[in-house]
Amino acid sequence: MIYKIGIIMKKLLIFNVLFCALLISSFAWALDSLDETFIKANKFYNEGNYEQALDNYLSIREQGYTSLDLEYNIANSYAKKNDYPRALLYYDRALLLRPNDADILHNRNYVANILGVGNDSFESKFDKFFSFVFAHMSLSQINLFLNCLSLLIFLLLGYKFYLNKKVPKALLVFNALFIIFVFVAKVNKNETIHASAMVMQDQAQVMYEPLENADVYFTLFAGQKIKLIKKSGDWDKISVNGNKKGWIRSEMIELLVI
Amino acid sequence: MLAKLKFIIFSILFFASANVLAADKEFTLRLSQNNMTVGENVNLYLDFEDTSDIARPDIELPQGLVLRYRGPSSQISIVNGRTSRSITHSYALIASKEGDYILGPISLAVGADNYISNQAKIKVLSKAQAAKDSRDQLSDRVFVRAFVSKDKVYKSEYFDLVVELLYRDISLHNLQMPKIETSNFNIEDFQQPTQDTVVKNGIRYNRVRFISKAYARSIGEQNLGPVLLQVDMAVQNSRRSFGGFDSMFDDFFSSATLKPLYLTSEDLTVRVQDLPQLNRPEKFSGLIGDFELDVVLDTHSLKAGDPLTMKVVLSGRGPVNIVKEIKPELEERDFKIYEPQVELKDNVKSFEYVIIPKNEGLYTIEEFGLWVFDSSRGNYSYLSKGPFELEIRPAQKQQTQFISAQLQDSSAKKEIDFLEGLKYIKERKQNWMKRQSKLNPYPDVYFYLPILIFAVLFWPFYHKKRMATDQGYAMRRRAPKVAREGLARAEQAIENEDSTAFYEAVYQTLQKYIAYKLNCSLAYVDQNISSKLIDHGYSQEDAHNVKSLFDSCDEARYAASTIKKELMDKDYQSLKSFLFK
Repeated sequence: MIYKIGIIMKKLLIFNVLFCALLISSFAWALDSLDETFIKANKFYNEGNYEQALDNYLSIREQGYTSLDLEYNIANSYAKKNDYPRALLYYDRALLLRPNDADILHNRNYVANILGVGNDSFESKFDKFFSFVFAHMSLSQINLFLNCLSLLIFLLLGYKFYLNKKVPKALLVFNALFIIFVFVAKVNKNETIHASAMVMQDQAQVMYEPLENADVYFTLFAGQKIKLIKKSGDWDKISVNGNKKGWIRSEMIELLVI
Repeated sequence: MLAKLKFIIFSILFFASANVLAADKEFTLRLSQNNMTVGENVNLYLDFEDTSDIARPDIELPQGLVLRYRGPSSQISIVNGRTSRSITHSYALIASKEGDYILGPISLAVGADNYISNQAKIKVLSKAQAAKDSRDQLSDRVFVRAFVSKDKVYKSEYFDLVVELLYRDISLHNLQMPKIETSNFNIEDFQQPTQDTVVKNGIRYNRVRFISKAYARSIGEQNLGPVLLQVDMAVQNSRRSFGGFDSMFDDFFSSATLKPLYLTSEDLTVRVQDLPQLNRPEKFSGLIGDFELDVVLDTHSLKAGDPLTMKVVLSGRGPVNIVKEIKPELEERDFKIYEPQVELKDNVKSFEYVIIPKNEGLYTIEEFGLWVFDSSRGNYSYLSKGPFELEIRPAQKQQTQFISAQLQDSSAKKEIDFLEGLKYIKERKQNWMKRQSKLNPYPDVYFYLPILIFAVLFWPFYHKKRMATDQGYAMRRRAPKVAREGLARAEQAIENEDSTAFYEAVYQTLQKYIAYKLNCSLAYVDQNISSKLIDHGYSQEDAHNVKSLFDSCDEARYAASTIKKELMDKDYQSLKSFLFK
């Protein structure tokens, strides 16, 4: 009986090992194919075949993967094709992952100059304050920072209560307040990122109401950043500079994060 | 003989007095006026003095007159102790035929009395005759006159029509709007009249002035009029005074009657000519008269995409409301123009356009307007404004480098080599990650976990530490355990029906429990514990219960055998309710 159980266990173990190996290898294969596609796309780009390069880059994206440089390369490809609004959009997507990358910033500003848009944002003063403070940190970096702070305060409290050591109250209070501050910044940045959109059309009219024959409130231009408030059918309610609000056709804009 | 003589004299006197008693009495037939028109009604009164017992008399009237009874009114007056009575029967007299009529004398037998009235004459006229008569009588005191602003007009050209009512020394009421019967002219409603005074031939008249606008429908010499105006004139009534005593409450309307007046003006003649067909523009607006056109722009320099408001105002003497639109000609590729907001007030029509320039640059809105016919000069003229220069600046464009200058010519978009401007692509090995997680690869659980662990571990640690260091806290935490153990012993004692053991358990439990709760020594818990409990915040009831229990424990020491099970149960419940309140 024990012998039989032993055989069964052995078989199960072998099966598990093979299954894991298969999973790992398939994952590795998937990644390898992404690498291949990326290299192929780069080659097309070097040859000046920007259309093909873009197709390959975007196919990686469609498979649900991305990397720090993929968005940047896509943006460059669009810029080469003179599709400046889309280039600007992908530069902004690349900046979400690497806010301080000098190359991304340089190219973004270059394309923005061509379009004639600045780096104006739709954020309110409250949002702008947080954006300024955490301008050089991506959302993942802020989150990591927050986790570290949480761990720190846990250690401090444990040091005080469990080990009966003296820990200045001011330090604990400051840490707690700082955690709250960073948490609010993270939530704010997350909301801002997910509500950000960009105008894709050369000129996009913003109406008072989500109707084709409604009065035009103001006009937006390609590359301008806007904030998405809500959707209603084929129309999106947006705001610009924190106060001007209106309705625009959904096809005229694209979200920063999908 | 003497008897016979007395009889004769008596008879003579009797018949004489009978004659006196049977004499004719008089009553008055009275009319409110002696002239009336057909269809009009006049008041007729029959006044009887020194009696109020006269029933409604029936009166025969000549043909052409109809009588309608209104009712009686009687009066009693006492003057210097003397009482007098009278009655008046009132009728409405209506004439259905013109003519001169004589009413009365009316004869009436009332009992033994004969009443006879006087005669009255009344003249009934037709309406036209009445108007003529009244006009003849009043022509110098009230009359109507009409004017036109131009006696030579073009067909469909508007001109003013003025009707004036002049009157003096009479009181007029219920003035109607003038009426004109004509098929050759279209006349608008008369505006609200104005009132003032005017001097004519050295005599001051009151004037009521009506103004309207009209235009001719057909050409040639056309008659306009006459203008008919109806108004009521107040005529004073003749009043009857009762016993020489006038009523203090009499007012104007009971003493005056309103008599209608039908006034007409002289006929007007207007010469109407047709518009010249020679050089008649194709886009003639239909406006005839004197007009002005004004165009105002709120700005001449703006950014592409920003709105510009253009207000076009048309005013003048003529029907501006017939103009539907006065719109500038603009290129669709350069401008978007919206439907105007139209306003018409006091014969001024305005069109407000919103125009949005699409592209930057210098633009000109060309001269625009409409064709009208200038009736004073007798020719067609183009009423216009413009041109208007516009500077359209770029929309939110900064001072960019040479590349933006090259892009301004959108029709010739050039492929620009960016190699010098753009940084190159990145070709290094990539770390692939799922798109959904790329923004935040560190789950939020890493934030909440330390806090959660701390909270879970904190409480037991805190409790243990406090139990070791805070005696009061530790004793209070132990009190419930003491209570439970004590109650268990007491319950066991009840089962065993051992009153001594029961009250021993009750005493010890109470003493220990209170000592632990109050963090004091056992000796502190004595006979005065009830007041001490109150000082520590317990209620009067609890303090009383505790005292009762201690008293029961004392009694049990000396007479344990007399205590029954029911009493022990009662004390047990009392103890339990205190311990686990």
